[in-house]
Amino acid sequence: MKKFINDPRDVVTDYLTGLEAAHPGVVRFDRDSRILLRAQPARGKVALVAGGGSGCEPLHTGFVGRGMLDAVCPGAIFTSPVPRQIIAATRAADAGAGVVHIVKNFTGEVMNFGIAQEIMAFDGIRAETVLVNDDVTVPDDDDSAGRRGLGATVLVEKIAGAAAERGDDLARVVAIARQVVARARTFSVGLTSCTTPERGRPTYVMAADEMDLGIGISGSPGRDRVPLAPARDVARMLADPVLDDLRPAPGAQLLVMLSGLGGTPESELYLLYGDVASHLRDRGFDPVRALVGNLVTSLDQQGAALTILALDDELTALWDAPVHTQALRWGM
Amino acid sequence: METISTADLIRCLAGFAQRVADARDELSALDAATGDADHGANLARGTIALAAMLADAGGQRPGEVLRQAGLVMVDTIGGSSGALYGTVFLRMAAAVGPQARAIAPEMLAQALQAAAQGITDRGRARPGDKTMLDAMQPAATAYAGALSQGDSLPAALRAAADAAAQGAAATAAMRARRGKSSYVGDRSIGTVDPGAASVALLFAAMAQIGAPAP
Repeated sequence: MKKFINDPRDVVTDYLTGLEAAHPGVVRFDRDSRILLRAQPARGKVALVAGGGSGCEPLHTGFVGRGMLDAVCPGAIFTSPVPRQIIAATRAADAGAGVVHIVKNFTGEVMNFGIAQEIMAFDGIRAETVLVNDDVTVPDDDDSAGRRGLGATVLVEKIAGAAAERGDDLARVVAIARQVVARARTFSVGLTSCTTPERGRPTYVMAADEMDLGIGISGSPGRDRVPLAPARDVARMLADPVLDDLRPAPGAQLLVMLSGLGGTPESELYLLYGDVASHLRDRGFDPVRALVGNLVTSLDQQGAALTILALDDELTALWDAPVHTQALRWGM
Repeated sequence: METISTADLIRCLAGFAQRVADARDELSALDAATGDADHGANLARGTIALAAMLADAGGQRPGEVLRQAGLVMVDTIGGSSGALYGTVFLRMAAAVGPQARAIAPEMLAQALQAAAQGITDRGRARPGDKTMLDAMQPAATAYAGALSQGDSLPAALRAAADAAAQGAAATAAMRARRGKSSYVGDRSIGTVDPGAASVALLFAAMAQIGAPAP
Protein backbone atom coordinates (compact mmCIF):
# COMPACT_ATOMS: atom_id res chain seq x y z
CA MET A 1 0.00 0.00 0.00
CA LYS A 2 1.29 3.43 -0.94
CA LYS A 3 -0.89 6.20 0.45
CA PHE A 4 -0.46 9.67 1.93
CA ILE A 5 -1.41 8.81 5.49
CA ASN A 6 -0.03 9.29 8.97
CA ASP A 7 -2.03 6.69 10.89
CA PRO A 8 -4.82 4.62 9.30
CA ARG A 9 -7.06 5.46 12.27
CA ASP A 10 -6.71 9.20 11.67
CA VAL A 11 -7.34 9.41 7.92
CA VAL A 12 -10.84 10.93 8.18
CA THR A 13 -9.90 13.56 10.78
CA ASP A 14 -6.71 14.43 8.90
CA TYR A 15 -8.60 14.69 5.60
CA LEU A 16 -11.20 17.05 7.09
CA THR A 17 -8.42 19.17 8.64
CA GLY A 18 -6.93 19.61 5.18
CA LEU A 19 -10.28 20.33 3.55
CA GLU A 20 -10.91 23.14 6.04
CA ALA A 21 -7.39 24.48 5.55
CA ALA A 22 -7.88 24.62 1.76
CA HIS A 23 -11.41 26.09 1.81
CA PRO A 24 -11.79 28.13 5.01
CA GLY A 25 -14.37 30.39 3.34
CA VAL A 26 -16.58 27.42 2.48
CA VAL A 27 -16.41 24.87 5.32
CA ARG A 28 -15.68 24.61 9.02
CA PHE A 29 -14.58 21.35 10.65
CA ASP A 30 -15.90 20.74 14.16
CA ARG A 31 -13.28 18.28 15.46
CA ASP A 32 -15.02 17.46 18.74
CA SER A 33 -18.24 16.34 17.09
CA ARG A 34 -16.50 15.20 13.88
CA ILE A 35 -18.93 17.07 11.64
CA LEU A 36 -18.38 19.45 8.73
CA LEU A 37 -20.41 22.68 8.57
CA ARG A 38 -20.75 25.68 6.30
CA ALA A 39 -18.24 28.38 7.17
CA GLN A 40 -21.15 30.83 7.31
CA PRO A 41 -24.24 29.11 8.72
CA ALA A 42 -27.45 29.86 6.81
CA ARG A 43 -30.38 31.46 8.63
CA GLY A 44 -34.09 30.86 8.37
CA LYS A 45 -33.95 28.23 5.63
CA VAL A 46 -34.60 24.50 5.56
CA ALA A 47 -31.38 22.72 6.57
CA LEU A 48 -29.97 19.76 4.65
CA VAL A 49 -27.90 17.17 6.51
CA ALA A 50 -26.21 14.13 5.00
CA GLY A 51 -23.67 11.62 6.14
CA GLY A 52 -22.19 8.30 5.23
CA GLY A 53 -19.03 6.28 5.17
CA SER A 54 -15.90 8.21 4.25
CA GLY A 55 -13.84 7.20 1.23
CA CYS A 56 -16.52 8.33 -1.27
CA GLU A 57 -15.31 11.95 -1.53
CA PRO A 58 -16.26 14.45 -2.72
CA LEU A 59 -19.57 12.91 -1.53
CA HIS A 60 -20.75 14.35 0.95
CA THR A 61 -18.09 16.64 2.40
CA GLY A 62 -17.30 18.30 -0.93
CA PHE A 63 -20.93 19.39 -1.25
CA VAL A 64 -21.20 21.51 1.90
CA GLY A 65 -21.81 25.18 1.16
CA ARG A 66 -24.15 27.71 -0.43
CA GLY A 67 -26.78 26.02 -2.57
CA MET A 68 -26.19 22.50 -1.26
CA LEU A 69 -25.67 20.95 2.19
CA ASP A 70 -25.57 22.64 5.60
CA ALA A 71 -23.87 19.90 7.63
CA VAL A 72 -22.28 16.52 7.03
CA CYS A 73 -21.38 13.77 9.48
CA PRO A 74 -18.68 11.58 7.91
CA GLY A 75 -18.21 8.07 9.29
CA ALA A 76 -15.09 5.96 9.26
CA ILE A 77 -14.00 4.65 5.85
CA PHE A 78 -17.02 2.93 4.24
CA THR A 79 -18.80 2.91 7.62
CA SER A 80 -21.86 5.00 8.36
CA PRO A 81 -21.65 7.77 10.95
CA VAL A 82 -22.71 7.08 14.53
CA PRO A 83 -25.86 8.58 16.12
CA ARG A 84 -23.85 11.06 18.22
CA GLN A 85 -22.44 12.66 15.04
CA ILE A 86 -25.80 12.67 13.29
CA ILE A 87 -27.41 14.42 16.26
CA ALA A 88 -24.60 16.99 16.46
CA ALA A 89 -24.89 17.73 12.72
CA THR A 90 -28.67 18.06 12.95
CA ARG A 91 -28.48 20.45 15.91
CA ALA A 92 -25.77 22.54 14.27
CA ALA A 93 -27.62 22.79 10.95
CA ASP A 94 -31.08 23.55 12.32
CA ALA A 95 -31.81 27.15 11.28
CA GLY A 96 -35.40 27.19 12.46
CA ALA A 97 -37.17 26.08 9.27
CA GLY A 98 -36.84 22.31 9.64
CA VAL A 99 -34.15 19.74 8.85
CA VAL A 100 -33.95 17.17 6.05
CA HIS A 101 -31.84 14.03 6.48
CA ILE A 102 -30.62 12.78 3.12
CA VAL A 103 -30.03 9.07 3.75
CA LYS A 104 -28.56 6.63 1.25
CA ASN A 105 -30.27 3.27 1.45
CA PHE A 106 -27.45 1.32 3.07
CA THR A 107 -28.33 -0.83 6.07
CA GLY A 108 -25.91 0.85 8.45
CA GLU A 109 -26.77 4.38 7.35
CA VAL A 110 -30.52 3.77 7.67
CA MET A 111 -30.12 2.18 11.13
CA ASN A 112 -27.86 4.90 12.54
CA PHE A 113 -30.02 7.77 11.24
CA GLY A 114 -33.01 5.88 12.66
CA ILE A 115 -31.43 5.53 16.12
CA ALA A 116 -30.38 9.21 16.02
CA GLN A 117 -33.93 10.28 15.20
CA GLU A 118 -35.32 8.12 18.04
CA ILE A 119 -32.90 9.78 20.47
CA MET A 120 -33.63 13.32 19.16
CA ALA A 121 -37.37 12.75 19.48
CA PHE A 122 -36.89 12.83 23.29
CA ASP A 123 -35.82 16.47 22.88
CA GLY A 124 -38.59 17.30 20.42
CA ILE A 125 -36.18 17.61 17.47
CA ARG A 126 -37.55 16.13 14.26
CA ALA A 127 -35.98 15.59 10.88
CA GLU A 128 -37.63 14.53 7.65
CA THR A 129 -35.89 11.62 5.95
CA VAL A 130 -35.36 11.47 2.20
CA LEU A 131 -34.20 7.96 1.33
CA VAL A 132 -32.09 7.72 -1.83
CA ASN A 133 -32.25 4.33 -3.59
CA ASP A 134 -31.29 4.70 -7.25
CA ASP A 135 -29.14 1.60 -7.90
CA VAL A 136 -30.78 -0.56 -10.57
CA THR A 137 -28.35 -3.43 -9.80
CA VAL A 138 -30.41 -4.66 -6.91
CA PRO A 139 -33.87 -6.07 -7.63
CA ASP A 140 -36.57 -3.98 -5.96
CA ASP A 141 -37.85 -6.80 -3.72
CA ASP A 142 -37.57 -8.15 -0.16
CA ASP A 143 -34.73 -10.56 -0.96
CA SER A 144 -32.06 -7.94 -0.32
CA ALA A 145 -31.40 -4.81 1.71
CA GLY A 146 -33.00 -2.92 -1.19
CA ARG A 147 -31.60 -0.58 -3.80
CA ARG A 148 -28.51 1.29 -2.69
CA GLY A 149 -28.29 5.07 -2.72
CA LEU A 150 -25.56 6.03 -5.20
CA GLY A 151 -25.09 8.90 -7.68
CA ALA A 152 -28.61 10.29 -7.31
CA THR A 153 -27.49 11.48 -3.88
CA VAL A 154 -25.44 14.26 -5.52
CA LEU A 155 -28.42 15.33 -7.61
CA VAL A 156 -30.73 15.34 -4.56
CA GLU A 157 -28.22 17.40 -2.60
CA LYS A 158 -27.81 19.94 -5.43
CA ILE A 159 -31.46 20.26 -6.46
CA ALA A 160 -33.05 20.14 -2.99
CA GLY A 161 -30.23 22.39 -1.80
CA ALA A 162 -31.20 24.99 -4.41
CA ALA A 163 -34.86 24.71 -3.40
CA ALA A 164 -33.94 25.30 0.26
CA GLU A 165 -31.66 28.18 -0.66
CA ARG A 166 -34.44 30.00 -2.57
CA GLY A 167 -36.66 29.72 0.52
CA ASP A 168 -38.96 26.77 -0.17
CA ASP A 169 -40.58 25.38 2.98
CA LEU A 170 -39.82 21.96 4.49
CA ALA A 171 -42.65 20.09 2.77
CA ARG A 172 -41.70 21.52 -0.62
CA VAL A 173 -37.97 20.78 -0.25
CA VAL A 174 -38.76 17.21 0.78
CA ALA A 175 -41.18 16.78 -2.14
CA ILE A 176 -38.58 18.04 -4.64
CA ALA A 177 -35.90 15.79 -3.15
CA ARG A 178 -38.19 12.75 -3.43
CA GLN A 179 -39.05 13.72 -7.00
CA VAL A 180 -35.34 13.61 -7.87
CA VAL A 181 -35.06 10.14 -6.28
CA ALA A 182 -38.08 8.93 -8.23
CA ARG A 183 -36.70 10.24 -11.54
CA ALA A 184 -33.05 9.09 -11.22
CA ARG A 185 -31.31 5.73 -11.60
CA THR A 186 -27.68 4.56 -11.44
CA PHE A 187 -25.63 1.61 -12.69
CA SER A 188 -21.91 1.09 -12.12
CA VAL A 189 -18.96 -0.86 -13.47
CA GLY A 190 -15.73 -1.62 -11.61
CA LEU A 191 -12.38 -2.40 -13.23
CA THR A 192 -10.55 -2.98 -9.93
CA SER A 193 -11.36 -3.00 -6.24
CA CYS A 194 -9.86 -0.46 -3.86
CA THR A 195 -7.39 -0.45 -0.96
CA THR A 196 -8.64 0.74 2.41
CA PRO A 197 -6.04 2.25 4.78
CA GLU A 198 -6.96 -0.24 7.53
CA ARG A 199 -6.52 -3.31 5.34
CA GLY A 200 -3.63 -2.07 3.25
CA ARG A 201 -4.29 -4.25 0.22
CA PRO A 202 -7.11 -4.46 -2.33
CA THR A 203 -10.43 -5.73 -0.93
CA TYR A 204 -10.49 -8.27 -3.76
CA VAL A 205 -8.58 -8.97 -6.92
CA MET A 206 -9.96 -9.41 -10.41
CA ALA A 207 -8.20 -10.76 -13.50
CA ALA A 208 -6.80 -8.14 -15.88
CA ASP A 209 -9.35 -8.99 -18.59
CA GLU A 210 -12.45 -8.87 -16.36
CA MET A 211 -14.78 -6.21 -14.97
CA ASP A 212 -17.53 -6.18 -12.36
CA LEU A 213 -21.01 -4.99 -13.26
CA GLY A 214 -23.35 -3.69 -10.58
CA ILE A 215 -20.93 -2.52 -7.91
CA GLY A 216 -21.67 -0.03 -5.14
CA ILE A 217 -19.41 2.41 -3.31
CA SER A 218 -17.26 0.50 -0.88
CA GLY A 219 -14.96 -1.60 -3.03
CA SER A 220 -17.28 -4.58 -2.63
CA PRO A 221 -17.64 -7.09 -5.45
CA GLY A 222 -20.33 -6.51 -8.06
CA ARG A 223 -23.23 -8.65 -9.11
CA ASP A 224 -21.78 -10.06 -12.34
CA ARG A 225 -18.19 -10.55 -13.49
CA VAL A 226 -17.87 -10.22 -17.26
CA PRO A 227 -15.05 -9.88 -19.81
CA LEU A 228 -13.58 -6.40 -20.19
CA ALA A 229 -15.12 -4.67 -23.21
CA PRO A 230 -14.39 -1.60 -25.42
CA ALA A 231 -15.72 1.71 -24.01
CA ARG A 232 -18.56 1.95 -26.55
CA ASP A 233 -19.85 -1.43 -25.36
CA VAL A 234 -19.40 -0.48 -21.70
CA ALA A 235 -21.41 2.70 -22.42
CA ARG A 236 -24.32 0.55 -23.58
CA MET A 237 -23.93 -1.87 -20.65
CA LEU A 238 -24.22 1.11 -18.29
CA ALA A 239 -26.96 3.07 -20.06
CA ASP A 240 -29.37 0.30 -21.05
CA PRO A 241 -30.15 -1.02 -17.53
CA VAL A 242 -30.65 2.57 -16.36
CA LEU A 243 -32.96 3.50 -19.23
CA ASP A 244 -34.89 0.22 -19.09
CA ASP A 245 -35.60 0.77 -15.41
CA LEU A 246 -36.21 4.53 -15.52
CA ARG A 247 -38.24 4.49 -18.76
CA PRO A 248 -38.00 8.21 -19.62
CA ALA A 249 -40.53 9.52 -22.16
CA PRO A 250 -39.31 9.45 -25.79
CA GLY A 251 -37.22 12.55 -26.45
CA ALA A 252 -36.91 13.29 -22.71
CA GLN A 253 -34.34 15.82 -21.59
CA LEU A 254 -31.78 14.08 -19.39
CA LEU A 255 -29.21 15.13 -16.83
CA VAL A 256 -26.35 12.67 -17.23
CA MET A 257 -23.80 12.24 -14.47
CA LEU A 258 -20.81 10.02 -15.12
CA SER A 259 -18.78 9.64 -11.96
CA GLY A 260 -15.38 8.04 -11.73
CA LEU A 261 -14.74 5.82 -8.72
CA GLY A 262 -11.53 7.59 -7.75
CA GLY A 263 -8.89 5.72 -9.73
CA THR A 264 -9.96 6.36 -13.31
CA PRO A 265 -8.42 9.35 -15.16
CA GLU A 266 -10.69 12.17 -16.36
CA SER A 267 -9.67 11.50 -19.95
CA GLU A 268 -11.12 7.99 -19.71
CA LEU A 269 -14.29 9.33 -18.09
CA TYR A 270 -14.85 11.86 -20.89
CA LEU A 271 -14.01 9.20 -23.48
CA LEU A 272 -16.70 7.01 -21.92
CA TYR A 273 -19.11 9.95 -21.62
CA GLY A 274 -18.85 10.57 -25.37
CA ASP A 275 -19.95 7.02 -26.03
CA VAL A 276 -22.75 7.27 -23.43
CA ALA A 277 -24.09 10.53 -24.91
CA SER A 278 -24.01 9.12 -28.40
CA HIS A 279 -25.87 5.99 -27.30
CA LEU A 280 -28.48 8.07 -25.46
CA ARG A 281 -29.13 10.09 -28.64
CA ASP A 282 -29.35 6.86 -30.67
CA ARG A 283 -32.04 5.70 -28.28
CA GLY A 284 -33.97 8.92 -28.84
CA PHE A 285 -33.14 10.91 -25.71
CA ASP A 286 -31.70 14.38 -25.27
CA PRO A 287 -28.78 14.67 -22.81
CA VAL A 288 -29.04 18.41 -22.06
CA ARG A 289 -26.94 18.56 -18.88
CA ALA A 290 -23.78 16.62 -18.08
CA LEU A 291 -21.58 16.31 -15.02
CA VAL A 292 -18.41 14.24 -15.49
CA GLY A 293 -15.69 13.67 -12.91
CA ASN A 294 -14.94 11.99 -9.60
CA LEU A 295 -18.10 12.72 -7.61
CA VAL A 296 -19.10 9.54 -5.78
CA THR A 297 -16.00 7.42 -5.37
CA SER A 298 -14.58 4.36 -3.60
CA LEU A 299 -11.08 5.55 -2.66
CA ASP A 300 -8.77 4.47 -5.51
CA GLN A 301 -11.14 2.09 -7.31
CA GLN A 302 -11.09 2.17 -11.10
CA GLY A 303 -14.47 2.27 -12.75
CA ALA A 304 -17.44 4.49 -13.43
CA ALA A 305 -21.05 4.99 -12.41
CA LEU A 306 -23.75 6.36 -14.71
CA THR A 307 -26.63 8.29 -13.18
CA ILE A 308 -29.48 9.59 -15.32
CA LEU A 309 -32.15 12.04 -14.15
CA ALA A 310 -35.25 12.72 -16.25
CA LEU A 311 -35.46 16.52 -16.07
CA ASP A 312 -38.40 18.90 -16.10
CA ASP A 313 -38.24 22.71 -16.25
CA GLU A 314 -38.18 23.18 -12.48
CA LEU A 315 -35.51 20.54 -11.86
CA THR A 316 -33.38 22.05 -14.64
CA ALA A 317 -33.71 25.53 -13.13
CA LEU A 318 -32.77 24.24 -9.68
CA TRP A 319 -29.81 22.33 -11.16
CA ASP A 320 -28.60 25.53 -12.88
CA ALA A 321 -29.03 27.65 -9.72
CA PRO A 322 -25.82 29.04 -8.15
CA VAL A 323 -23.74 26.77 -5.95
CA HIS A 324 -20.49 27.21 -4.07
CA THR A 325 -18.98 24.13 -2.47
CA GLN A 326 -15.53 22.57 -2.63
CA ALA A 327 -16.46 20.19 -5.43
CA LEU A 328 -19.21 22.04 -7.33
CA ARG A 329 -19.16 25.74 -8.07
CA TRP A 330 -21.05 27.71 -10.64
CA GLY A 331 -23.11 30.93 -10.88
CA MET A 332 -21.36 32.51 -7.87
CA MET B 1 -22.00 -20.30 39.73
CA GLU B 2 -25.75 -19.80 40.06
CA THR B 3 -26.17 -16.20 38.87
CA ILE B 4 -24.11 -13.74 36.84
CA SER B 5 -22.70 -10.94 38.98
CA THR B 6 -21.35 -7.62 37.75
CA ALA B 7 -17.84 -9.05 38.08
CA ASP B 8 -18.84 -12.08 35.95
CA LEU B 9 -20.39 -9.80 33.35
CA ILE B 10 -17.28 -7.61 33.21
CA ARG B 11 -15.10 -10.70 32.75
CA CYS B 12 -17.42 -11.88 29.98
CA LEU B 13 -17.37 -8.56 28.10
CA ALA B 14 -13.61 -8.20 28.58
CA GLY B 15 -13.25 -11.73 27.21
CA PHE B 16 -15.37 -10.75 24.20
CA ALA B 17 -13.13 -7.71 23.63
CA GLN B 18 -10.05 -9.95 23.75
CA ARG B 19 -11.56 -12.46 21.34
CA VAL B 20 -12.48 -9.70 18.90
CA ALA B 21 -8.94 -8.31 19.09
CA ASP B 22 -7.52 -11.78 18.38
CA ALA B 23 -9.96 -12.45 15.50
CA ARG B 24 -9.86 -8.93 14.05
CA ASP B 25 -8.16 -9.78 10.76
CA GLU B 26 -10.08 -13.04 10.40
CA LEU B 27 -13.42 -11.19 10.73
CA SER B 28 -12.34 -8.58 8.18
CA ALA B 29 -11.24 -11.32 5.79
CA LEU B 30 -14.70 -12.94 6.00
CA ASP B 31 -16.19 -9.53 5.23
CA ALA B 32 -13.95 -9.14 2.15
CA ALA B 33 -15.74 -12.03 0.46
CA THR B 34 -19.00 -10.10 0.05
CA GLY B 35 -18.56 -6.74 1.73
CA ASP B 36 -15.96 -4.10 2.40
CA ALA B 37 -13.55 -6.03 4.62
CA ASP B 38 -13.96 -3.90 7.72
CA HIS B 39 -16.05 -5.90 10.21
CA GLY B 40 -13.02 -6.80 12.34
CA ALA B 41 -11.58 -3.29 12.37
CA ASN B 42 -14.95 -1.69 13.14
CA LEU B 43 -15.90 -4.13 15.87
CA ALA B 44 -12.44 -3.87 17.42
CA ARG B 45 -12.85 -0.08 17.60
CA GLY B 46 -16.00 -0.73 19.62
CA THR B 47 -14.59 -3.40 21.92
CA ILE B 48 -11.48 -1.33 22.69
CA ALA B 49 -13.84 1.42 23.89
CA LEU B 50 -15.89 -1.24 25.67
CA ALA B 51 -12.83 -2.52 27.54
CA ALA B 52 -12.00 1.04 28.62
CA MET B 53 -15.55 1.52 29.89
CA LEU B 54 -15.42 -1.76 31.86
CA ALA B 55 -12.43 -0.53 33.88
CA ASP B 56 -14.75 1.85 35.77
CA ALA B 57 -17.85 -0.35 35.80
CA GLY B 58 -17.15 -2.48 38.89
CA GLY B 59 -19.52 -0.51 41.11
CA GLN B 60 -22.48 -0.66 38.71
CA ARG B 61 -25.32 -3.13 38.62
CA PRO B 62 -25.35 -5.57 35.67
CA GLY B 63 -28.21 -3.82 33.84
CA GLU B 64 -26.30 -0.54 33.90
CA VAL B 65 -23.13 -2.24 32.64
CA LEU B 66 -25.12 -3.67 29.72
CA ARG B 67 -26.72 -0.27 29.01
CA GLN B 68 -23.34 1.46 28.97
CA ALA B 69 -21.94 -1.31 26.78
CA GLY B 70 -24.75 -0.68 24.28
CA LEU B 71 -24.15 3.05 24.20
CA VAL B 72 -20.40 2.62 23.77
CA MET B 73 -20.87 0.14 20.93
CA VAL B 74 -23.42 2.25 19.05
CA ASP B 75 -21.29 5.38 19.29
CA THR B 76 -17.92 3.90 18.33
CA ILE B 77 -18.49 1.14 15.76
CA GLY B 78 -20.74 2.80 13.19
CA GLY B 79 -22.30 0.96 10.28
CA SER B 80 -24.91 -1.72 10.75
CA SER B 81 -22.69 -3.62 13.23
CA GLY B 82 -22.67 -0.65 15.60
CA ALA B 83 -26.42 -0.20 15.42
CA LEU B 84 -27.03 -3.93 15.88
CA TYR B 85 -24.52 -4.57 18.68
CA GLY B 86 -25.82 -1.44 20.40
CA THR B 87 -29.35 -2.76 20.07
CA VAL B 88 -28.32 -6.22 21.39
CA PHE B 89 -26.84 -4.80 24.60
CA LEU B 90 -29.53 -2.15 25.12
CA ARG B 91 -32.30 -4.75 24.78
CA MET B 92 -30.47 -7.05 27.22
CA ALA B 93 -30.13 -4.09 29.60
CA ALA B 94 -33.86 -3.41 29.38
CA ALA B 95 -34.66 -7.08 30.05
CA VAL B 96 -32.35 -7.22 33.08
CA GLY B 97 -33.55 -3.87 34.39
CA PRO B 98 -31.69 -1.30 36.50
CA GLN B 99 -32.39 -2.89 39.90
CA ALA B 100 -31.11 -6.47 39.64
CA ARG B 101 -27.90 -7.07 41.63
CA ALA B 102 -27.14 -10.20 39.60
CA ILE B 103 -28.55 -11.81 36.45
CA ALA B 104 -30.52 -14.94 37.31
CA PRO B 105 -30.47 -17.77 34.71
CA GLU B 106 -34.12 -17.27 33.67
CA MET B 107 -33.56 -13.50 33.39
CA LEU B 108 -30.68 -14.16 31.01
CA ALA B 109 -32.95 -16.34 28.87
CA GLN B 110 -35.33 -13.39 28.51
CA ALA B 111 -32.45 -11.01 27.84
CA LEU B 112 -31.03 -13.21 25.07
CA GLN B 113 -34.43 -13.57 23.42
CA ALA B 114 -34.89 -9.78 23.66
CA ALA B 115 -31.50 -9.32 22.00
CA ALA B 116 -32.47 -11.63 19.13
CA GLN B 117 -35.75 -9.76 18.77
CA GLY B 118 -33.80 -6.49 18.69
CA ILE B 119 -31.84 -7.68 15.64
CA THR B 120 -35.11 -8.59 13.95
CA ASP B 121 -36.68 -5.23 14.79
CA ARG B 122 -33.72 -3.06 13.80
CA GLY B 123 -32.64 -4.93 10.69
CA ARG B 124 -35.80 -6.68 9.50
CA ALA B 125 -33.70 -9.86 9.56
CA ARG B 126 -35.36 -13.26 9.49
CA PRO B 127 -33.75 -16.64 10.29
CA GLY B 128 -31.79 -17.81 7.26
CA ASP B 129 -31.04 -14.32 5.91
CA LYS B 130 -27.31 -14.82 6.68
CA THR B 131 -27.02 -12.27 9.47
CA MET B 132 -26.08 -11.98 13.16
CA LEU B 133 -29.52 -13.40 13.91
CA ASP B 134 -28.47 -16.82 12.57
CA ALA B 135 -26.03 -17.17 15.48
CA MET B 136 -28.05 -15.20 18.04
CA GLN B 137 -31.37 -17.00 17.75
CA PRO B 138 -29.99 -20.58 17.95
CA ALA B 139 -27.93 -19.54 20.98
CA ALA B 140 -30.92 -17.97 22.76
CA THR B 141 -33.05 -21.00 21.97
CA ALA B 142 -30.40 -23.52 23.05
CA TYR B 143 -29.79 -21.64 26.28
CA ALA B 144 -33.49 -21.58 27.19
CA GLY B 145 -33.84 -25.24 26.21
CA ALA B 146 -30.91 -26.30 28.38
CA LEU B 147 -32.31 -24.43 31.38
CA SER B 148 -35.74 -25.99 30.96
CA GLN B 149 -34.08 -29.44 30.94
CA GLY B 150 -32.63 -28.60 34.32
CA ASP B 151 -29.06 -27.90 33.15
CA SER B 152 -26.83 -25.74 35.32
CA LEU B 153 -26.04 -22.15 34.28
CA PRO B 154 -22.52 -23.06 33.09
CA ALA B 155 -23.92 -26.00 31.07
CA ALA B 156 -26.61 -23.79 29.52
CA LEU B 157 -24.00 -21.16 28.59
CA ARG B 158 -21.91 -23.95 26.98
CA ALA B 159 -24.95 -25.09 25.00
CA ALA B 160 -25.57 -21.51 23.85
CA ALA B 161 -21.95 -21.12 22.72
CA ASP B 162 -22.07 -24.39 20.77
CA ALA B 163 -25.34 -23.39 19.10
CA ALA B 164 -23.96 -19.96 18.19
CA ALA B 165 -20.85 -21.52 16.66
CA GLN B 166 -22.93 -24.01 14.67
CA GLY B 167 -25.34 -21.27 13.64
CA ALA B 168 -22.46 -19.11 12.41
CA ALA B 169 -20.93 -22.01 10.48
CA ALA B 170 -24.29 -22.75 8.85
CA THR B 171 -24.43 -19.22 7.36
CA ALA B 172 -21.78 -20.30 4.83
CA ALA B 173 -24.45 -22.12 2.83
CA MET B 174 -26.94 -19.24 2.97
CA ARG B 175 -27.66 -16.54 0.40
CA ALA B 176 -27.59 -13.12 2.06
CA ARG B 177 -30.88 -11.26 2.08
CA ARG B 178 -29.95 -8.39 4.40
CA GLY B 179 -27.03 -5.99 4.66
CA LYS B 180 -24.28 -5.26 2.16
CA SER B 181 -23.72 -8.94 1.29
CA SER B 182 -27.25 -9.10 -0.12
CA TYR B 183 -26.18 -6.90 -3.06
CA VAL B 184 -24.04 -9.65 -4.56
CA GLY B 185 -26.88 -12.19 -4.70
CA ASP B 186 -25.76 -15.79 -5.14
CA ARG B 187 -22.11 -14.74 -4.84
CA SER B 188 -22.74 -14.38 -1.10
CA ILE B 189 -23.02 -18.17 -0.81
CA GLY B 190 -19.90 -20.00 0.41
CA THR B 191 -18.51 -17.86 3.22
CA VAL B 192 -19.52 -17.45 6.85
CA ASP B 193 -21.32 -14.20 7.70
CA PRO B 194 -18.85 -12.03 9.65
CA GLY B 195 -21.60 -10.70 11.97
CA ALA B 196 -22.71 -14.23 12.86
CA ALA B 197 -19.05 -15.15 13.45
CA SER B 198 -18.58 -12.28 15.90
CA VAL B 199 -21.80 -13.19 17.74
CA ALA B 200 -20.32 -16.69 18.20
CA LEU B 201 -17.30 -14.99 19.85
CA LEU B 202 -19.64 -13.21 22.28
CA PHE B 203 -21.24 -16.50 23.32
CA ALA B 204 -17.85 -18.21 23.57
CA ALA B 205 -16.84 -15.46 26.01
CA MET B 206 -20.06 -15.99 27.97
CA ALA B 207 -19.39 -19.73 28.23
CA GLN B 208 -15.90 -18.99 29.52
CA ILE B 209 -17.22 -17.22 32.64
CA GLY B 210 -19.15 -20.38 33.55
CA ALA B 211 -16.14 -22.64 33.04
CA PRO B 212 -14.17 -23.76 36.11
CA ALA B 213 -11.26 -21.46 36.88
CA PRO B 214 -8.02 -22.79 35.37
